[in-house]
Amino acid sequence: MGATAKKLWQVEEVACGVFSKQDASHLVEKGISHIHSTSLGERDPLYQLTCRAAAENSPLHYPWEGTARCHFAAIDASASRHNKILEMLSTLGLNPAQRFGHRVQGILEELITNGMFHAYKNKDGSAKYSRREKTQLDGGEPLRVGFENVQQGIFLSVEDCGGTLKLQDIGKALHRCYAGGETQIETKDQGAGLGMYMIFDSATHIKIEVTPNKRTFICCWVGGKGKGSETSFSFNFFQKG
Amino acid sequence: MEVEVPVSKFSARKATEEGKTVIYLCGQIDEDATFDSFEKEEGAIVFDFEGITVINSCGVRNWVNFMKHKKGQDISFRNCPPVIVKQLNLVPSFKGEAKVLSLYVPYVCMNCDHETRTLVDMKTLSSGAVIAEVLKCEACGEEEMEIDGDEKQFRLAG
Repeated sequence: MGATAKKLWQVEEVACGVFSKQDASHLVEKGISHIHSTSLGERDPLYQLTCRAAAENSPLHYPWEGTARCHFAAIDASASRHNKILEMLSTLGLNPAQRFGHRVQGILEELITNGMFHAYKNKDGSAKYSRREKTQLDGGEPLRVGFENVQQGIFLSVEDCGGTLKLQDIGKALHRCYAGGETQIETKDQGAGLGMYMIFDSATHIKIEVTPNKRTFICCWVGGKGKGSETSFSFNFFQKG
Repeated sequence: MEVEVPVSKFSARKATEEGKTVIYLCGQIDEDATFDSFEKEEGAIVFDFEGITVINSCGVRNWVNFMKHKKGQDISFRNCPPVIVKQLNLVPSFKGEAKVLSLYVPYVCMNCDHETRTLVDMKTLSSGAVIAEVLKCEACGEEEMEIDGDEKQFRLAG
């Protein structure tokens, strides 16, 4: 890349260590966009991939991400999403009455709800769709949902054409939610808050790519077939431009 | 694989038991679930969560806002499934000033993945009883059933 080449992706600091999810939420609030909680330290292959991504200014494909066999579904209405989620679980061979299926169902629900009610904004910055009403997304705005069994876990992704998610908003929401108390639940009608907190708390690995005002791609890997380690997780936020 | 759990919309049924109002909640608590009809309900109320299958962040917001109307009232929760216990831990205002009477502790067999859950009366915990860390699996017979999650979350929920 030449010295005058445009910086395509903004990669902020990378944090590596053994953290609780709450510790990690503090780091996100401080603006750290890449966090790897791992007992392997800098030998962790995922951390090394993130360092490469930082050096190359481009998100890379983590081994836990979906493959060419990934299934996709389009969702454009709030009322039909529950049945579509059940269909996805069925395709994945998961039963929502069992703990792992239920966990995946919960994350899918929050990823989709988040995309549906918070990704699209009016020109004045207000939410285009209200979570208090049944929502039908306009043509060209359906969410693209990916799902696949990968490496003893489940890969999930949701892509929208809004591109409005910001690292600082995630940081504020996580900080507020982990702090608990009266301010934990915001009553305003917009913003990624409680849902993002639930995703962050339940998923093992999360990667977010945002192209402002064009696209947000959130993907995660949910481990836990077996007890697993609650201190091994990662969060990576890439923003283009 | 057939999905065994159909989408069940939220419903609530009111009953009177031993002089108390008991409200049985069922289905999924999401943005469509409203609790307006119970806002003016006076006296002691027991919410029975046994039938709740799903709750999302929109539903949590609705519930927390509803509980704000119940400050100072004698409110109890009973038969809380793990999905509600999770919210009790993640979102303290979900409980508000309510008492948790009983909750389900989920167990999973490390040998055969069989799952079960046990109802725990919070009164027995407060008088010194402990939540069993390991159970014998009714499917494979091994002493391999462990609590699914941190035991502390079930104590804290009370």
